[in-house]
This record gives sequence, C-alpha cells and structure tokens, in this order.
Amino acid sequence: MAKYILKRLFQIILTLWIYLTIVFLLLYLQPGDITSFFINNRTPPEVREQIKAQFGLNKPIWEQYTNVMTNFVTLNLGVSFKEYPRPVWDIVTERMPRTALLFVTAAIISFCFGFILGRLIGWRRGAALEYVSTVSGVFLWTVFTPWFALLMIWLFAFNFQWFPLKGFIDQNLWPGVQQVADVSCDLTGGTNCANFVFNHILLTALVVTLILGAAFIISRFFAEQRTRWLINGSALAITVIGVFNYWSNSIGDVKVGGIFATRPLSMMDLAGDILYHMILPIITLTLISFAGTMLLTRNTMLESLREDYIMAARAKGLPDKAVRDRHAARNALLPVATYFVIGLALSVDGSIFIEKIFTWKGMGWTLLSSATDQDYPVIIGALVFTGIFALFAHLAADVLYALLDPRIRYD
Amino acid sequence: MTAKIKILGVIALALAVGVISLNTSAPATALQAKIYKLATFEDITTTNTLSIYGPNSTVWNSYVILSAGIHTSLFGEADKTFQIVPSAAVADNDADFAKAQTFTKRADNKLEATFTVRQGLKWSDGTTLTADDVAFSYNGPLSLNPVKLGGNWPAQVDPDFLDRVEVVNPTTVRFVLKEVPGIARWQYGMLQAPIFQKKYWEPKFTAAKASSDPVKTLYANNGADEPGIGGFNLGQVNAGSFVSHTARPCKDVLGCGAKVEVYTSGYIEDQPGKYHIEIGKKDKLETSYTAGPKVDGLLHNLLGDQNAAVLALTKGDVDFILNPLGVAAGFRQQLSSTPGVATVKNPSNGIFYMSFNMRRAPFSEKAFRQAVGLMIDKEFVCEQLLNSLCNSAYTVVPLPNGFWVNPKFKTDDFLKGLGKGLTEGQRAQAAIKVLKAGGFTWDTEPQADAQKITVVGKGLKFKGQPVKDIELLCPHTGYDPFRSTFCQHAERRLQLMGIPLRANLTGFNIIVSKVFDDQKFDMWVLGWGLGIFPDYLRDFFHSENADAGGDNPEGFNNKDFDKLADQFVAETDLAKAQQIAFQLEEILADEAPYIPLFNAPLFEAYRSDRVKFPYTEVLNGLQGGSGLPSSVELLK
Repeated sequence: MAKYILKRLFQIILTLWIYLTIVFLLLYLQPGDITSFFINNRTPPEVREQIKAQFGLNKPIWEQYTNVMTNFVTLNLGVSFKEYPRPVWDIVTERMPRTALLFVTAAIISFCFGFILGRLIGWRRGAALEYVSTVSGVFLWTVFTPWFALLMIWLFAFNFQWFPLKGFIDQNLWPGVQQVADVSCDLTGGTNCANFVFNHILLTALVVTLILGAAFIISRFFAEQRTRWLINGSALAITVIGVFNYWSNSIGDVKVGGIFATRPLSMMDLAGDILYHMILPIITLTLISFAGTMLLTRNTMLESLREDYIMAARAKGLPDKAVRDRHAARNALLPVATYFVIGLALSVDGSIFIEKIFTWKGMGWTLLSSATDQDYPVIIGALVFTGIFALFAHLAADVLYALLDPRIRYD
Repeated sequence: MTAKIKILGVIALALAVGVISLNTSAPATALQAKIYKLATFEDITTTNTLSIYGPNSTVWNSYVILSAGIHTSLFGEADKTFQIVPSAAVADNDADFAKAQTFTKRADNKLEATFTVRQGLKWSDGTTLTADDVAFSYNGPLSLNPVKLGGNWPAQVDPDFLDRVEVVNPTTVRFVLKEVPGIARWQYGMLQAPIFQKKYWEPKFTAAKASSDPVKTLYANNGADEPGIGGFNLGQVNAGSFVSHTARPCKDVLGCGAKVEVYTSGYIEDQPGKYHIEIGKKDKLETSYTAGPKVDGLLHNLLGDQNAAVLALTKGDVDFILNPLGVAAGFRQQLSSTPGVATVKNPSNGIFYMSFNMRRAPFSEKAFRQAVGLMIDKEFVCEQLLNSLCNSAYTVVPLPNGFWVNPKFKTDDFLKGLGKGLTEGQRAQAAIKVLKAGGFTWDTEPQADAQKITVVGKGLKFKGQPVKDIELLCPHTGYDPFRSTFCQHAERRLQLMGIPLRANLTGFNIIVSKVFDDQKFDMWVLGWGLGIFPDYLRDFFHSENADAGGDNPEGFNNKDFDKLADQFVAETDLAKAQQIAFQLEEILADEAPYIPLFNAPLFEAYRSDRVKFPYTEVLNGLQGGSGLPSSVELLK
C-alpha cells in the first residue's frame, strides 16, 4: 500500500505540472491582458506599458512560465493584478473558508439525501416513490441552475421572507460589530471578524465530525448491537453540549457599538446568522445535485441485488433490512463513495452561479471575476487549489476503496 | 430504517427551525441612525487611495471609497453643470477666479501660479489642512514619477507641465510650470488633483523610495486609516459583504451646511461667517441645496447581480442601485410600477462608434467611410430594433455635453447630410453617389428608388480592383446587445450595397487586442466613456497617437486637424477652446474616421419613500455622483 501511495504521489506531481502548464497556456495565450481595461484617453500608452512591466506581462512567454512555475514550487502564488499588490494567497485564504463551509456542507447533505433515497428506491423498485423521486431528481439535476436559484430566492426569500435575500452575513447586523473575541472589526478588520466566525464554524464542524465518527467506529467495531445507540446517542449529546458551551462561553465576547449597532450580540448570534444565510443556498444546492448520488446508488443497488451473495443472504433467512443495508448497500457504496470524495474536493472551487446569485463571495465568484478581468495569478491560484484537491481526492478515493472493499489490494 | 429517517428528519427540521428562530426570535431593531444604503456589484479592491487613483482605478473603488469625500482639491466641478468652481482654493469671486487661472513668467523662463488655501479645513484626525499638504500632494507623486504610478496619475500630476509646487507660507502655494497647460491639463486636470495629508503619507513615500520597488511598496500600504477631509470616515470593510462609513461632525467638514445654488453659467456657495463664493452669471437656476452630509452613515452593500439588487431595492433593503450601466432594460417596467420606488432616465456621457483601419484602402478613402456612415440607419436601430433604449449619435461629443457640441449638430438640415431621417432608398442613392465620386465601381451597381434598394449591388471595386472581404469586429450579444444589433444591421445594409462586409461578433478583449495592440483589423465597433472636457477630440484622432497602444488605432492622419487639435488642448480661454472644438467636430463629421452610432441613456432606480436627492436629472445619472452621499436626505 505504501509503495502504491508513493507511486501515486509521483503521478500526482506529474499531473499537476501538466495541469498547471495547460492552465498557463490557456490563460497567457489568449488575446489581450488586464491592461485592456486601462484603455481610455486619460491613461496614456506609456502608462499601460508601465503596468505591463509592473505585472511582468512584457516579459517573454517562457520567462513568465518559469516565474509561474517557480512561484508554485516555492508556494508563492504571486500578487493579484486586480487587487495589486495583494498576495493571491491572502485572497484564497479569505474566500476559501466561505466556499468550503457552504459547499462541503451542501455536498454532505446532498450525498446523504441522495444515498438514502437511492438505496430506498433501488430496494423498492417500481414503487411510486421511485417514479416520483427519479422524475423530480432528473428534472432538478438538469434544471438551469441560475433560473432555479432565482426561483428559490424569489419564492422563499422575497415572497415568504423565510430566508435572507443575499449574502453570507446580515448587512444590517454586522456593521455594528466592533470586536469579535480579540479580533477588531474596525476599518478592514470586518473581513477578519466574519472569517473568524467562519473558521470557528468550520473547526467546530470538523471536531463534531471526528467525535461522531469516532463514536460510530467504536460502536460499530467494539460494542454490542444493543449498546450502539447508547454510545452514538451519548456522543451526540456530549457534542451538542460541548458545542453550545464552546460557542456560548469559550470563544469570546462580541463588542457592538457605533451608529450601526442594532442590539447586543453574542457569538451564537453571529454563528446563527451565518448558518441562517446558508440554509437557502444549501437547499438549492441539495435539490439540484442529490439526483446524481441517488441515481448512482439506485443503479449500483440494482446491480448488487442481482448478485449471488444477495440470493445467498436471503436464502440464509436474513431479514430484508440486513440484506439491504449490510450486503447490497455496502457493495453499492463503492462507486458512490468515489463520486462523493471527488465531488467534495471539487466543491472547494464553489459554483459560479450559486455564489453570484446568492451573493456568496467565495472561490467561484473569485474565479469568474478574475477570468473576466484577466487576473492571471488569481485564476492560477484558484485552479491550482482545485487541481490539488481533485488529485488528492482521487488518491483518497483509491485508498477508501481498499478500506471499504477487503477484496481490493494495491501492490 | 424508516424510523431512523424520521428521527433524522425531525433532527434536521429542529436544527433548521432553531437556526431560523435564532435569527427571528430576537429581530434586529431598526437602525436609529439614518443610514443611506447603496447596492454595489463588485467589491472594492483596495483601501489605499493612492492606488485607487493609480492601477486600482475601478468605478467601484471610486463609488465606495472616494465618494465619501476623503480628499478635496483646489478646484472641483459644480453639480449638474460640471463647471469649474473653487474648493480648497480661495477664488471666491470672478476677479479672483480669473486670476487664479493665470500664469506669470519667471526669471528662469518657467511659469508660476499662486493659490491661497482656504482656512479652517480640518482633517479627520483634527489637524488643519495647510499649504504643506497641497504641495506634498503634487511633489510626492512627482518624486516617484506619475507615469510609474499608473492610472490617472499622469493626468492629475502631469510631469510634462508641472515642475514642482512650493510652499510660500502656511496658506499659500506656488505652482511652477514648465509650459502653459491648456484647460484639459490645468482646470480639468491638475487643479482637480486630490489633496493628501502630508503627515500620513510622507513617511510612506519615504519608505517606498528606500525600497527596491517603490510603487509596489507604496501601494502595499493598507491606507484604511488615512485621515479624510470630506464628509465621512471609513467605518468597516467586510470584503464580500459591505463597506460602512460614518458621517463626520458637520462643523469639521468643508462646505457642510453651506447653501449652494448652481446656475447654468454661475455658481454660488454661501457658508455664513466662513466664506461666500459667487462666480459667473445668475441665469437659469439648475439646482439649489444645502450641502451635507445629512445622513449619519453610508452602507455600501455588495450584491451578486442585478436580480439580487432589484429584489433588495423592491424589498427596501437598499435605497439606490449604484451601477455605471444603470438598471437593465428588463427591470425598468417592473421597478416603475413598484410602490415606493422611483425611476429616472438620464443621458450618459459616452459614445459608441464604428471605425476603420485607415492605413489601407478602401478604408483610407473618405468616400467609403462616408458611404458606410450614410447606410447605417441609426434611428431605425435605436427606435425600432432596440425599442428606444438608445439615442442615435452624429458627433463624437455626446449631445448632452451641450457646451461642447457644435450647434450645427443640433440642426436637422446639417444632420440630414449625415443621413438622419433618410429612407433606405435615399441612403443608398446618396451612398452610391459618394462612392462613385470617390472612384468606386461595381460588377452590378446597386439601384434604389425613394424607399428601398431595388437592385442589390455586387462586386464593389476600387480603382478597378475588387474590394476584399471586410471583417467588422463587434462585441458579441452577451457583452452588449446594442452594439451587436448595430453590427448586424450594418452588415445587412452594406451587403445590399455590394460591400463584402461580415460582422464578427467576438469578445471585448479580442477586439481590444487586435485593434489597439496588434492593429490587425479592418473595421471595429466599440465605445468610450468620456470626460466633460473634450480633450479626447485630440487623443482619439491626433496622428501622434496612431502607433500601437495609442488611442488613434484607426490611424487618422490629417495635418490640419493635428494642428487645430494641438491648439485646442493648449488653449487657456474657454470660449476660444469651444470654437476650436466646433471646428474639430466639423472636420471629423466630414472625414468620418469614426461613425458615431449611439449614446445609451442611463436608467436608475431609488427608494423615493426613503431618500430625497437635490436633483435627479443630470448627465451620467446619479451614479455619476456616486449616489450623491453628501447631499442626499433620508425621509425616514
């Protein structure tokens, strides 16, 4: 296994180099550059030349390529042209948590929903549920995303007013926040304050996942059937209390003041505000993407159900639930898990449509605006992250395969 | 399993309800302060104002950071009429105003102009604006070379004209100039350059100069804590969501509380006990108001696109949508009928045009260019095809910039000669006549009656040689449906005349690259956003700018025009400059290096039940004044 992983790591480096080269060529060989936006009669040609020199765009293409590669190897992504001279790394770390929180959450929910539903309709083939969920799932899977997202906003945010219209934070609430824990929100610190809360939500989600995952593994492999619910339930209760306590008392206080202040706020309020803003985009993302997992699960379930071992399990007199969950679904999980892991990795680049329509300024929006403004370092930075995540996700999927299926061995 | 799903469903529902109730059980109380909320579509890219005048000169940075009035200048432009008026310089009557714009010759053959700085202007850190600040605002950029600073710096601190600025005493500065700058460089350029606080910026300039890359070092400063002189202090920048500003106390703000009266040819600003400015004539009153700020704060909310902005405006989440292109056509009717929302239509100071590669035939032939101009039915495209969403144009200077428009372009007789009001047949007849006179022939000559082209032309030839296929580069429909419609119309009309033209609808960057950088093109269609002073009459057509990267990619080369254009930008007398501009416009109409196509009016929308502007009819719309944060009033 170790030899296999090392071999794959080498392949990843090679693929990444090819990927980066293709991205570079696609960007740098297209006509025009960011100085096209400085064409006006108040900006003389020599100023455009100066800007080109400042950004290194006047250098030969091979030299620019060498710079990009050198920057990549030294983990220096360069500076943004559009937000000159802000480091690209700074932009990525500002926006990645927002995208990660929204899209990873949506991917997990979508996967769970799709897997459970797929397993169910695969098992009960021909039932009304199969037709309803397949037709609606395929419709939502193929629907024009911007239209559907706008419809959701119009219906649930504008008409029913259940959710906010836009953004990831309340634009009436946050301007009054002056300090979050020990982070000052004055001047440009507002971004740090919002990201502080975002990062803590991500951290909390990670810790909760690890605790509940550990509890699941312990209950699965080291506990008897009867005590499993007790272990999982206890872990859930401890986690909920811990999270509540952490957000109520441990992170720090929120200082509110100035003319924009509306009411006293706590960390829970701020986290709740972000979570509240996530609901509608997550529902939308889940609805437009669950069908992929659902149909894949359904198909693999149908294949599994035709296998001899299912017949053998039934012949042994195992209950339907055991046949479905332990024998059919376990085997059906393999391709679905791969699909999920790769989808999870790609979610770090967000979705241009969803981010623009829900005013969720993350990596997708950044990618779009950098592409339209020909801000090459930011585009390369964003795509490199996607590439790295995707390649490592492939590796993770391979490893996961071996863990899920004892028949698979990598030599 | 079903039970588990139910439990999971209940937990998910409980969590969702919990999160919603967390936000709705204790709703945010309405803001007590009067906050003016504006919608924007792009984030600011920096808070460093030096950079905003340089490479980060985006319209969004200008809306959000500069509109708060962080800087003043010696002179500024009056609201609505855009006439030059004193700001931080004392030139409060006609005599002083005229004197302030004259130069005296020095012993070293250079020129000088002296200004008195208005007293009592306070920076937001409590210090007073002095002559030191003014001099530093010019000498600092000069020391780093304005060209290297990029963006608008060379226009604001023009090293070709400005030698240095000296401090005579704490309230007086002396500009030392290498040669006489014209109105564009002086009144509409250097005299309107922003004044920075020396105390804040000087150490940063010093550090920058000591570094290996001074420009990058200077622009790397955050600048968010820069003291301002205007009505608002920067409150909080929350990238991806909002930028807030808080209003400064009125007593500390230049002009706050002053009564302003703007006349067509005059300007009065009166702040009792402090100053009284009265220049020009008290003819037609354009607008009058009391200068603010009259709100407690500004909140620029970032929204993803127009859909979100329109919903937010309809719901009352924002008061005004800031967008250089206004509100899209699809939303106008909807917003017009929304209670509490008012819409306003204003002319824009921009021109969309078609042009040629005049370095080679047939584009080098005036007859060909004139014929193309005649064949394009601008009224038909604007009124019929584009549902009156644009106005046809016949001169490079947009009609709404009235002072600079040659009066001939406002008369039907003159415009008829350029094709206005003609039928397809009349256009064709005129174009055939012009082409024949210019030496063009056809294999099959087109024919037309009074209404239509009756025989389609084929095989246009110039001096016996067939005219090769012509490519017209146009922005694609997704980028601009107006320009692409004009291109398709032009393609059809010119093909009927036997002109082998094909419209290539392509990307903006591709057009810019081919036209401005490579100069490998036949014809193209693009647009310009313009300034009030039409120095672009020289920039776009002077042969000096015909090299790659210049603003005259068409390669127009007319020595008489060049001479006149040089006179125009060097002219210091407004009336004389106006007359020269009229002559330039006539030459351009005859030579036709550009075929002006249309101007697009701006539609804007605001919450009329919440905000009141001192005026709503203005060139470039309310967005041109960044939503008028310093003079807007909140009704509730």
